[in-house]
Amino acid sequence: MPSHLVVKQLSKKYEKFVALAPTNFELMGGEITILSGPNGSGKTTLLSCLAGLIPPSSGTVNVMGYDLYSDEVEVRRRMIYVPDVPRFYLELTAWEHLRFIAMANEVGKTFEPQAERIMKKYGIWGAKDLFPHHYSRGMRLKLGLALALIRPFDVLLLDEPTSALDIEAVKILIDELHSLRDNGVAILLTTHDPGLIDQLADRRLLIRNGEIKAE
Amino acid sequence: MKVVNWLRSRQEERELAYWLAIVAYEKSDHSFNNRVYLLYLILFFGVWVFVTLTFFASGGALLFKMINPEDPVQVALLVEILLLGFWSLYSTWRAVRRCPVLFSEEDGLLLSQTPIPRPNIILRWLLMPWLKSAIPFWIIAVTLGFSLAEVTMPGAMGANRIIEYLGFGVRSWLAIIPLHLILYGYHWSLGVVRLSSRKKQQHWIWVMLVFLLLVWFVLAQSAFMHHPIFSSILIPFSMGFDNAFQWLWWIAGWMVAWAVLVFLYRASRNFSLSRAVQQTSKELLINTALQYGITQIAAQEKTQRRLGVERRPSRIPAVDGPGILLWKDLLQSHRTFRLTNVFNWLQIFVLLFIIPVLPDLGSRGLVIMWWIIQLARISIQRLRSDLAVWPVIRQLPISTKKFLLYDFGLCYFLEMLISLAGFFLGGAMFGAQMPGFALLIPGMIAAIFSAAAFDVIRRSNSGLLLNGSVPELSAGGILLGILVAGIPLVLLVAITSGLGMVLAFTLSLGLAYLAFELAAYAFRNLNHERMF
Repeated sequence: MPSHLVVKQLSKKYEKFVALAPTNFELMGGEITILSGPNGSGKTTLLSCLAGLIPPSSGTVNVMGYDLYSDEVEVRRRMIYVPDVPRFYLELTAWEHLRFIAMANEVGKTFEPQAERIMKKYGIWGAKDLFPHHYSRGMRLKLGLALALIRPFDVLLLDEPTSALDIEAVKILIDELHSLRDNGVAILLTTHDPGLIDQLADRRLLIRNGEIKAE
Repeated sequence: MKVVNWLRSRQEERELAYWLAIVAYEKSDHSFNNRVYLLYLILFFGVWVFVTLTFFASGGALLFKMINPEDPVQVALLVEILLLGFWSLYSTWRAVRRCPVLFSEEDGLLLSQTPIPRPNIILRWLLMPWLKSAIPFWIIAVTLGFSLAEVTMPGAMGANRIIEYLGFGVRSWLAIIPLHLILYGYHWSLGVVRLSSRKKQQHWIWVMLVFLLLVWFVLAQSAFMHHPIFSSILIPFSMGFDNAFQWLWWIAGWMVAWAVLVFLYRASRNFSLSRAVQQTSKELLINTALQYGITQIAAQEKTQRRLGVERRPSRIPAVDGPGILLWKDLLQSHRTFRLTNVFNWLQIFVLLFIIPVLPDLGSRGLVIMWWIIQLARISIQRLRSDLAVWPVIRQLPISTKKFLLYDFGLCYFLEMLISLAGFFLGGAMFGAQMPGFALLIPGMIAAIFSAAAFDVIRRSNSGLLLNGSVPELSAGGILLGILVAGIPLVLLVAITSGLGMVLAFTLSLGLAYLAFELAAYAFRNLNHERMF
C-alpha cells in the first residue's frame, strides 16, 4: 500500500515552548498506527496540526498527494479527525448533524440508511432526535465517530477514541477499525489503553516531550 | 451552621467586592488612603443618589399633576400597588416554574452532603437576593415620596426644608420594607413548598394565581375608587404617603413579615437541595456570566434552555454540497428565533426609512453609522456560532470563499431586502429620492459583513476555538466596517454628478470585494504565525 499521509519536519511551538519537535513519519493505507505517550507529551497537538485545526510552526502534511495547506478541500475530502471531546451545534439534533455532514460531503443520497445503521450500531439510535448537549460524554464521542463514519475517507485520525466508551462500544469500534484497515484506510489513533494497543497496532509511535520515536 | 454562615458570607463578600470594584475600591487594601476613598465614595454616591432621585421626583410630580392634581396620594398609591402587584404575579409565576432559591453546583456539592437543617440554609440564603430585589422598590418608593413632597410642600424649596423633604422619602421607604419582605417571603415559600411536594398535580397553582390576581385587582380598584369598605386594607400601602406615619400598622406589617418567614422556615424542612441545584444552577450560571460580561456562555446556556431536549427532524429541504450551509443557517435561525430578532431587523428598517426625512448630512451620517453597527452585530452571529464548532467546520470539504459566501448568504439577502425596503418606503412616503445611496447599499452591506468577519477571524485563536471560545466583534471591526462602507458614501457626496454615482458604486463593490478577500485570507490562515 502507498503512503496515504506524509509528514515532513512538522513542528509546533508556543513562543519558546516546543509542543512538537520537528517530526517526520508516514501513514500507510491498510495500516493502524498507534500513537502513545504520557499526558501533555503532544499527542493532541500533533493530531490537531495534522487535521489543520491548529497551524504548525513549520513543516508540511501531504494527504494522498495533496498538500494540507494549498489543497485544503481535496485533503478534507480524504481525511477526517475525531477529537476526544467533539463539539456540536447547539441548534441541530444528532440526526441533523449527521445529515449536515453527509450532505456537505455530497453523500446525501445514501445518508438515511447509512446514518440509521451507524447510530444503531453504536446504540444512539434511540437518542437521534436529542440535542447533543444532552448527551453524556460517551454518547458525544459515539456521535463524533458517527459523523466521521457517515462520509468516505482515506485517512482517519482518532484522539483517544475509547476514553469514554463502554465495553460494548469499544468492541464495535475495534471491529470497525479492522474493517476500515482491510479496506485500505490509514488510521492513526492515540490511546493509553494497553489492551487496545495489543488488539489494533500494526505500528507504534511513541511521543515524549514533543519528540516522536518509532517503537 | 457556622459553615453555612462562612460559605454564604464569602459569597456575599464576593458580590459586594464586584460592585466595589466597579467604583475602583479595592476591598483588600486596608491603607488609610483607601478608607478615606471609601468615605468619599459613600458621600459622593449619597449626594448623587439624592440628586438623581429628586430629578426623577420632579418628573413624578408632573405626572401626579397630570393624572390627579386634586389627590396626588391616590396616584402614588396606585403606582405602588400596580408595581407590587405585577411584580408579585410575575414572581409567583416564576416561583411555581423554578425554585426561587438559587444554588450553584458548588453549593450543592458542599451543602447537600451535610446534615445541616435545610430551613437554616434557606433563611441564610435569603438576605442577599432579598436586598437585590428590594432596592429597586425602595428607590421607586422614595421617588414617589419625593414627588409628593414636590407637589404638596408649598413655596420655594430651600436648605432649611430639606429635613421635611427627606421625611417624605423616608416614610415611603419605611412603609415599603415590610410589604416587600412579606411578598418576597411568600414567593420563596411558594417555591419551596412546590419543590418539596412530590405530587405532580399543580392545579392549585392556577387557583393561587387567579386568587392573587383578584387580590391585586381589588386593591388597585379600592385605591382608584376610594372605596370606603376597602380603604382600611390600603393603610399598609398608603401610610408611607401620609403625613402622619402609622407606626402601629407598620409594626403589624413587620409581624406579618415575621410570620411569613416562620412559615418559610417550617416549609423548608423537607426542602430538597439537590433538586434545587438541578433547577437553578444553570440560572445562577447565566446570571453570573452576564454579571461578569461573559455573554457567550450566558447566550449558550439560554439557547440550550430554550431549545429543550429534542426535536423532530426538520422538513426544510436540503441540497448536497455547500448549499447545506444555507439549510443549517435556516434551521438555526428558525430554532433560535425570538422577538429581539424582530426588533433588530426592525431597527435596520427604521434607520433607513427615516434617512430621507433627516435634514442634513450630519444627522444622516449618524444614522448611517448606527445602521452599520447594527448590520455588523447581526451579520457576525452565524460565523461566531460556526467558529464555536471549529473541528466540524474546519473539516468540511468546502473552500474558504464558498464557506463564507454561503454562511453570509441568507443574512446578507435579508439585510439587503430590509434595508432597501426601508429606504424606498421612506423615500416614497416622504418624497425624497436618493438613487445614488440606494445603489450603494448592496456593496456597503457586503463590505460591512466582510469587515466584521475579518475582525472576528483575525482575533480568533485556534487553540481557544477548539474549546468553543470565539471573540466578540470589536470596536476595531466596527470602525473598519464604517470605513469600507463610508468611503463610497463620501465620494457620492463629494461628486454629485452621474460620474460620482458611477464611481461610488464601483468603489463600493471594489471595497466589498477587497474586504471579502481579506476575510477569506484570514480564515484560510486563521491564527497562522505567518499571517499578520
